[in-house]
Amino acid sequence: MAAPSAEAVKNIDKLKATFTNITAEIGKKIVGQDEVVEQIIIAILTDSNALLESYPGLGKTSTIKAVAETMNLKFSRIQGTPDLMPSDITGTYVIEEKDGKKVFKFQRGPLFANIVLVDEINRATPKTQAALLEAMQEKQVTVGNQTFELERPFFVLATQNPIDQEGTYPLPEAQTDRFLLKIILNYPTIEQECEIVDRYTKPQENEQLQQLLSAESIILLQKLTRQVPIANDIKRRAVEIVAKTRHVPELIEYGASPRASLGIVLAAKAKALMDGRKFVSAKDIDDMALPVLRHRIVLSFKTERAGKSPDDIIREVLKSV
Amino acid sequence: MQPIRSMFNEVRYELVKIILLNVFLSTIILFLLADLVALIFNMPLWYVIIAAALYFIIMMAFEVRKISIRHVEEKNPELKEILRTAKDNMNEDSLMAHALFFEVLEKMKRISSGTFLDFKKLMIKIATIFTLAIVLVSIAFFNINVAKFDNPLERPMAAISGFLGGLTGTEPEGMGGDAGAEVFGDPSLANLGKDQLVATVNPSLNSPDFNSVDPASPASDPLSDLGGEGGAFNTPEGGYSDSGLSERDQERSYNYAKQTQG
Repeated sequence: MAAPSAEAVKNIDKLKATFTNITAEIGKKIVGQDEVVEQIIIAILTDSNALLESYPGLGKTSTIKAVAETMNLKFSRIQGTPDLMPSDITGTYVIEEKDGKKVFKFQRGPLFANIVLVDEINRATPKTQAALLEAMQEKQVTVGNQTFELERPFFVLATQNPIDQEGTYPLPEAQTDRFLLKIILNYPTIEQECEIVDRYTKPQENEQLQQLLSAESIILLQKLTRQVPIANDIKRRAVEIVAKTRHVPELIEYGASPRASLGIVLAAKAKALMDGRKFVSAKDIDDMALPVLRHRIVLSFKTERAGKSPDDIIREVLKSV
Repeated sequence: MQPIRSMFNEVRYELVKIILLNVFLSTIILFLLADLVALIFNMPLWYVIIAAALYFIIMMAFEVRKISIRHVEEKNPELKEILRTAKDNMNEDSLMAHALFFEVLEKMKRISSGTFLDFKKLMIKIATIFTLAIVLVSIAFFNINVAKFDNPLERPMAAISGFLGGLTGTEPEGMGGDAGAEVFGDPSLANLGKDQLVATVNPSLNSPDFNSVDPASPASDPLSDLGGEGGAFNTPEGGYSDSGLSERDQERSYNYAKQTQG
């Protein structure tokens, strides 16, 4: 490849401004969740899926909808319920009359979109959750003996809440591993909450967000994300962090898989791109370790009894590497 | 990619130059310290030179092997992580990699090689050299020698030189050739012997009175004093004379006297 023109290099320098604009646009609807918005965009840039978890009422669904609004993409929403069937999300064959004959025609389900919001995913049955697996990993849907490619870009943004577990089906480890990031939404500060109250207790203006990214530009950004260079020692640090989770049996019963190493490096590259850097820093790795690892490790009984969370343990691992 | 490669070569070259300067200054300090010890204990200087040379070679090899781009990053925080990323990805051929190289080259233009130097360390070394030099001159001036160094290599070296001399057929120094001149002195000095010095011995004081020494007068037969013809050293029977000299020594004395006379 010949050296890029100064124009191309300048365009790369403008990327930070693009992401700042997206965050500002989302900020018109969502208050005080900048880190969450950043992590959702990271999931999009890495062509991966994200699982959002928080107590009810913190704006999981609203945030995802706001992100989708800023992108000129096909958006669909699936509400997880115990009676949700796999065919409800993948689609099914329906009988249709054509030229006086009855033929089977595939009716596409809500999975055939670019951004799929699966709300309260843990309320769907394991069978329906499993139907999502193929779409999330392979970016395709198989119905009967026919396989359908999903449109690119494609990503699933799912939500779940950690309380009110009655009548829920916790996601199995194999499925949580398919989500690159597990994003935790925290309570807003007093000032942020005041602003939320102000904004949503006034007469509704129904403000429409500006669409800043097209499908093509997202695909280009996904390519650029993978091209972000990373130093060997920083890459090694990511791998050592993941490997360490497998070697502390007193704290972690099951450590993270090599997929977590891939995830950390890829997410760190996306974070660097968002920050307008052309290289990955060690801080990017540390920042991304929490959302990438927190759903991939199983704590030991002793650790759980001590009241420690996966985040506490990951922070300990980060200090020790 | 060629410019970034050249840039890294240039950085390496600059680092080598800085290492050379640092190691050179350290070597001087070591040399002065060792010279100080050598001066006090009366050791040969070539011990000090060898020690300093060895230190220089070993330290250069060690430091050059240790060269890392991290040194440059430490001195220039704006290059932190970016420089080693560029180095590790020099063979990458993507838009992002090229953009990174472009940025690195731009940043490196603003950085002078002087920033790689640790001035504090450098100043300490120079001050140490200055102090040691003053101490060394003072010790040399007052000629302080604590002990005589017993050179452990002196005997083996002498043995080796004797052995080599035996092999080549040459005699050890001082035993052949000019041996006679060394024993008897320079032949020209012997001409003084032609003059007769007359000293009067004062029997009462049992010591010579040098105030009453008569001026020198030429001797009638200078050989008489040195065992020439009719001299005191001659013994008609051979063997030892009254003077206690052997026949061979007398002969050598006679020949020497003749040589000086002739």
